[in-house]
Amino acid sequence: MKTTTGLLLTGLALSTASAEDWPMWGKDASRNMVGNAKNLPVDIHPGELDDDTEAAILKDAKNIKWAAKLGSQAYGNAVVAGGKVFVGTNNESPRDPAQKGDRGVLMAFDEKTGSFLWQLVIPKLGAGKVSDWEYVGLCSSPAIDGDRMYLVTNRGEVMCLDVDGMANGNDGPFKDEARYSSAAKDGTPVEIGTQSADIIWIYDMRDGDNIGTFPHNVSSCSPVVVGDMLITATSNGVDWSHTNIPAPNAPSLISLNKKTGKLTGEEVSEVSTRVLHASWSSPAYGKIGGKNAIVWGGGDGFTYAFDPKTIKDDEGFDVFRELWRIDCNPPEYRMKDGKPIKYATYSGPSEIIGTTIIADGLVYAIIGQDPEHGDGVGNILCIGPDGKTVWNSKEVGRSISTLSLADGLLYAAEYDGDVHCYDAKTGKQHWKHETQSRIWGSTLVADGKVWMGTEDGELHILKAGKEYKSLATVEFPAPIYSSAVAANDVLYIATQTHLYAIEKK
Amino acid sequence: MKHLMNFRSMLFGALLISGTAFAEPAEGWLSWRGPNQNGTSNETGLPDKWEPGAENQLWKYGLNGAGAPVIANGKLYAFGYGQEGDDTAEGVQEILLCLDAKTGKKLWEKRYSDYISDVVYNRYGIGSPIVDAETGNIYLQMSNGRCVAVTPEGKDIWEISLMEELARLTFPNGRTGSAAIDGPLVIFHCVTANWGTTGPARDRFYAFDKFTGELVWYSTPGVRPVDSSFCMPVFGQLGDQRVFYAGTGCGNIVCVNARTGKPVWRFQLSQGGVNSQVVLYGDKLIALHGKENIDATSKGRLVCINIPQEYPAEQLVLDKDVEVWRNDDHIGFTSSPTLVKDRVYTTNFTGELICVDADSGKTLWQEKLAPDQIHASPAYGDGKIYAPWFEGSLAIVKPTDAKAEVLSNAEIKAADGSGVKALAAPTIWAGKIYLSTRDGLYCFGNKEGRYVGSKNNNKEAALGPVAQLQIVPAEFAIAPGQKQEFKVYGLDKSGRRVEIITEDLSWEKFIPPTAKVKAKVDATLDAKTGTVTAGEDAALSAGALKVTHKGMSATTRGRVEATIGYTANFEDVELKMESPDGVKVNFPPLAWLGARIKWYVLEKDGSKVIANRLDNVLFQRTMNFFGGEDMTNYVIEANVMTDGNRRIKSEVGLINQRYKISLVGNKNVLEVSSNYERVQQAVKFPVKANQWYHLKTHVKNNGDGTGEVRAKAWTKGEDEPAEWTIKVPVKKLHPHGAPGIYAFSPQAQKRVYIDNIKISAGE
Repeated sequence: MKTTTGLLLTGLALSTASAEDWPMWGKDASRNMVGNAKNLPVDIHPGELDDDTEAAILKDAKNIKWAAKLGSQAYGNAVVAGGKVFVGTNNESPRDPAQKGDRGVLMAFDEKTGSFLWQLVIPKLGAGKVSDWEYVGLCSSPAIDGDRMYLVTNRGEVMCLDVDGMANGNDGPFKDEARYSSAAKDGTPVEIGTQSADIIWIYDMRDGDNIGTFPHNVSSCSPVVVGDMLITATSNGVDWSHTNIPAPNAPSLISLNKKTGKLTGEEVSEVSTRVLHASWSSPAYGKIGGKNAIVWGGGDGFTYAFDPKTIKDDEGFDVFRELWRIDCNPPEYRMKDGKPIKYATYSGPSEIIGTTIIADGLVYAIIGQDPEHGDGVGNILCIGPDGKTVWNSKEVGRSISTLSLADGLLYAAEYDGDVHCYDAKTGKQHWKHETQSRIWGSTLVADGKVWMGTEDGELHILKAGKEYKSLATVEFPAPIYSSAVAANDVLYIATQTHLYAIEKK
Repeated sequence: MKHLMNFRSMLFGALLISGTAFAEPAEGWLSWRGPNQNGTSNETGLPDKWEPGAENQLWKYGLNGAGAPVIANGKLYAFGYGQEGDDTAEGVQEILLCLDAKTGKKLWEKRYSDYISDVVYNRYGIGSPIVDAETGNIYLQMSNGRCVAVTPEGKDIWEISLMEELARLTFPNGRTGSAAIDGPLVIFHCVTANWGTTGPARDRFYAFDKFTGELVWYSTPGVRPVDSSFCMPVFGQLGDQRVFYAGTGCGNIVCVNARTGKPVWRFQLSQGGVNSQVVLYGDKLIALHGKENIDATSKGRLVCINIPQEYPAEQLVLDKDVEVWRNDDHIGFTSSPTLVKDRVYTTNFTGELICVDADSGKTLWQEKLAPDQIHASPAYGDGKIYAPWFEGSLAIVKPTDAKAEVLSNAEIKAADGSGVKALAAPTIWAGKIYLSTRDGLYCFGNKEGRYVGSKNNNKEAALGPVAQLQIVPAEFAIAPGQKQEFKVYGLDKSGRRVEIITEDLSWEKFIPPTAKVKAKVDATLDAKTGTVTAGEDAALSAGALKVTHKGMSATTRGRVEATIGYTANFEDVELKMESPDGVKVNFPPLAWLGARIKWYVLEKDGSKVIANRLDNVLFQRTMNFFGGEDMTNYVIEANVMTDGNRRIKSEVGLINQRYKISLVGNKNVLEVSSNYERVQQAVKFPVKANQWYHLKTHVKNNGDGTGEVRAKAWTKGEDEPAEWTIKVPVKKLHPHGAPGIYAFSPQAQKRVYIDNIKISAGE
C-alpha cells in the first residue's frame, strides 16, 4: 500500500567531477535524464537476498559489480562523483549501532568497491506524517560541487557537507555534529567518528526567523549550484487538511550563498498561496532564448522561469524577477462550468513533482500528483523560450517522473505504468511501453537504451529510438522508487533496500 | 456524561414505548467480515462472472462508499456519502443508507454532517455499519467519531460524539472501519487524547452499552501510536474469558477482555500501524501488515502466532517465540486476509492475489491482477474469491493449490471513462455479491438465493456468582447543577452480567495511588447510591469514584465541565513548575480534554494566561474541549494573541458549536470553518503579532435547520464594534456542540496566548 505521499524524485549541482560522473540529480543543471555511459549490460540478475542477513547474494548474480544495503525505504536518487556514490535512505539498516531508530540517512560508498565510507544521520522532526513522514528517509539527491555537497534534509534544512565526511577532520563553521545527529530528547551528543558526516553549514527553512516554511510530508528537492548560488525549492505546502496553507508568506523557491548558507534570493510569485500540495520539484538552470534562467515547476502547477540575478523588492528583500510563468494544467483541468475542479480528483488540476528540464533551448514539463491520489488526467508540455506552449499532449496520465530527451526524442514515464516516446519537436508519439506497474522513478537514457524501474521491482530496458523494442525486464527483490543513474559506464539501481552497481563483466 | 445520559435515556425510553426494543433477532451478513469473522461465505451457487451494467447485474444504487454493506433480514445497510439537493460544499454529508437487499429499493437513509475533522478530499464513508444479531439494531462510527445506534426502521436510539466527549482525534485518511458487537456491548476503536490517565494520545477501544449508549469500559492495550487503525475486533474465547483480537495504530496485535476491557496481551508486529483484520486459525492467529518490520529491514509481513492458552493475571508482552511462521512476500497495510479452511488469501499492495498455506506459511502462488491495492479485501464463497482492486476492478478467481484461475476481471468505469476506486470488501448474501465503490453500490448474482449462516457452537456455561463489579458509566461529565447516577453491575468470573447491585454499596471519592494529579471532582457524592451532584457553583474539576460491595470494588471517573457562566482568567493558578525553557508555568485545568500536554499557564504582559507549548512539533496544533457537546446557543469569547514576524504568525481561535472561529495570522483573516472541505469562509482582518485581540463568537439557530455563525474581533482595549465582523450563513447548522479553544503554530515556531475565556448565554 502506498504510504508515502509525495516523495520526490528530484535532484541537483555544477561540479568539478569527471565528465562521466553523475554529480547531481539529472546529471547536470539541465536535469535532462541522459547519461554518457557505454557498454551497459542488458543481461542482469541481481541475485537473491540472504534470509538472515538481507545481504545480496552475488554468487548467482549476473553483471553486478557490487550491492550495498540501504534501509527499508530509499527514494533519494544516487549521485556519483569523485570516486564516491551518495544515496539517501532511512536508518532501518543502521550503520552505526549506537544510532538505531527512525532517521533520515545519507550514505556514502566507494564507487569502485561499494564499501561504506560515511553517513549523515538526520533525526526525524517528530511532526508525524504531515512534515517528516515516518521511515521515508532522505529524499534529496545531493549536488556535488568540488569538495562540498548540498542537500535538503528530511527536516527541511538546506545543508552543506564535506564530500569526504569527518575522515579529514571537522570543518566549520558548523562543528556540533554530535548534537545535530542526536535524537535524544535532552540532546545528549552522539559519538562522532571517521564514518560520520562533516556538516559545514545548515539553513533551517522551517525556522520562523528564516523563511518559516511548512514542509508537507517530507522535505525534498535536489538543489542546484550555479556559481556561488545554491537554488532549492522549499517543500512548502498544505497541512493535514490538504486545504489549508499554513505558511502562505514563505517562499517556495530560494537561493542561498553556497559558502555561507545565507539567504540571497527568493521567489515572490506567491507560489505558496496557490500550492496544491507542496513545492517539492527541483529547479533546473540553463540557457533559454539565449539567456540564463532558473526554470522550475511549482507546487501550483505552473512552470516558472526566473532571472537568476536578484533585485530588491519594496521592503529591501532580494527577490527573483519572474521572466514568465505558464500553467501546465489545461484550463479544463482547473474549471468546469465556471466552477473550480477539486484537487485530487481524477479530472482535477495537478502540481509539478517531476523536474522540469531544459533541452535544446526549450523547456519540458509534465504534471502529476502524489501517488496516493491514484490515476488522473495529465499533461506533458514543450515550452518555448518565451514561456508559450510549443506543443503539449494530454494523452498521458499523471506523472511524478522526470523526462529524458536524447537524439530528438523525449521519453516520459507516467504513474500508471506507461513509458512514452515522443518526437521532442512536434510531440508526435512514436510508441508506448506498458510496464503493468506503478512508476515513481524517472527514465534514464544511456548507452542507446531507456532504463525504467517500477514499483513491482522490475527494471524495464527498452531500446532508445523511434522504433519500439523491449530489450529485457529484470526482476529485483524489492520495489524500485528511485531512478536509474549511469556514471563511468556503471548503472546504478536503488531498490527500497539495496543499491546495485551494474556493469558488464 | 449526564447531559448525554438524559438524551440517551430519553431515546431509550421512547424505544421501549414504541416496542422496538423487542426487535427481531437478525440474520445475515451482519458485519463486513461476514458470519465467520474471516471474509468467507457458507453459500453455494454464487456467480462466476460479472460485467458492470451487463450480464447478471441486478441493480446499482448511487452511493459513494468505501466499506462493505451489511445485510440483515433482507435489509441492506451501507455507509457512504453524497450531496443530494445541495451542490454546495456544505451539502456533502455522510449517509447511513438502508435498501431492500433484493431490489436495491431505498427504504430509508440518514444524513450526517461532518464537523471540524481532518478528513480530506472527501475521504468519507471508509467503514461499515454493523448489525446486532440480538436486536437487529445498526451501529456505525463515522469519520469524525460520531457514533450512532439506529433501529432497522431508521429510528435513533442514541448518538455519541467521541470527539467532544472523549477527545477522539481525527485523521486525514478518513479510515474509520466498523464497530464490533458482543453481548450487551458495542465496541468502537479510535485514537483519543482525553484527560488524566487517558490524556496521552493512544489507540483505544471504548465499549458502550448497546441499548443505552453508556460507556461500560475503555481500554488502552497498546503503546504510543504512529498511525490510526480501523481494525475491528475479532472475538474469541480464552479459557473462561471472552476476548477480542485486533491490530492497533501502534503496530501491535492486542488481545483484550471483551467484557471488562482489561488488556490481556500484545504482540509487536510492525513499526507502523496495523489496519488489517486478524483471522483466527484454530488456536493460532494470522495477521498482516505493510509497514516496517521490527526485526528486518523490509516492509510488510504475514505472520502466524500461537495464541497463549492461559488467561494471564497481567498483560503479557509476547515476543518472537510465539511465531509459528512468517511470510515476507506480503505488504498489506489496510487490506485484510481471508481464511478458507487451511488457505490464506491476501491482496498485496502491488496488485497480486496471494495464496498461502496456513500451516506452513508458504506461498503457493501469486497472481498479478491489478496495478496496486489499498483498502479492499477479498471475500470468498462457493469456491471462488471475489477480489476488488483500488484502481477499479473486481476479479473473480477460482483458486486451486496450483494456480489462480481467473474467471472474470471486470473494470469498473465512471461515466467519464476513469477507473472507479474500489475500496470495500465484497458482501455475499443469498446468491448475490454486493460491491461498494466510489461510483455506486453494485449488486449482481442470482435473484433467488438463500443465505446460509454459521452455527454458533459455543455453549455458554451457566452464569456464576458475582465475582467482580463494573460501574456504568465508566466515565462521566456533568455541568454545575447537574447530577450523575450509576449502575453497579455484578459480573461473574467470566465478565457476564449477573445483576445490577443496589444494596450494600459504599461509595467514596478516590485518588488512585498511581495518579499523577491528586484531584477530586467538585461534586457531592451520596455514599450509598453513588449519585454525584455538582453544585451551581461547582468548579471545573475531575477525579475518580470508588464503590465497594462485599469486599469487591470498582472505580469510575469523571469531570465537572464548563457551561454557560464559565469564566477562566487563570489568575489563581500558582506557577510552581518550570518549562523546558525555564519559564514559570503550570498546567491548564485537568477537566479540559487533552490540554495538559498542549498548554501552559504562564505570565504574559502582567497577567496569567494560557499559552500553547512549542516543545513538541507533534502538538503544533491543538483543539481542546471543556464543555458538554449538547450545549447550544452560547457566546464564547476570549482575549487572543499570536507571536510572530513578517513571514510567520500563528492561528488562534475558539470552538463554538462545532465551528472553528479563528484569527489566522499568516493570512490576516478572521475565519469560520468546520472541516475546510465543507465550511470555510473568511474576512480580511489584519492580525498583528504580539497584539491582544478580543474574539467573540456565537452560532445562531434559525429554527429551520439553517443558521448563522458569527464573530467579532477587535483590538483589546478598544470598544466592542456594534456589528459582527463576519457572518457565515450555514444551510446545515450544527445545532449543538462543545465549546473549546484552538491553536495552530505552524512548525511550533510562534506561540499563541489566550486569556479571559467567558461563556455566556446567546440571544
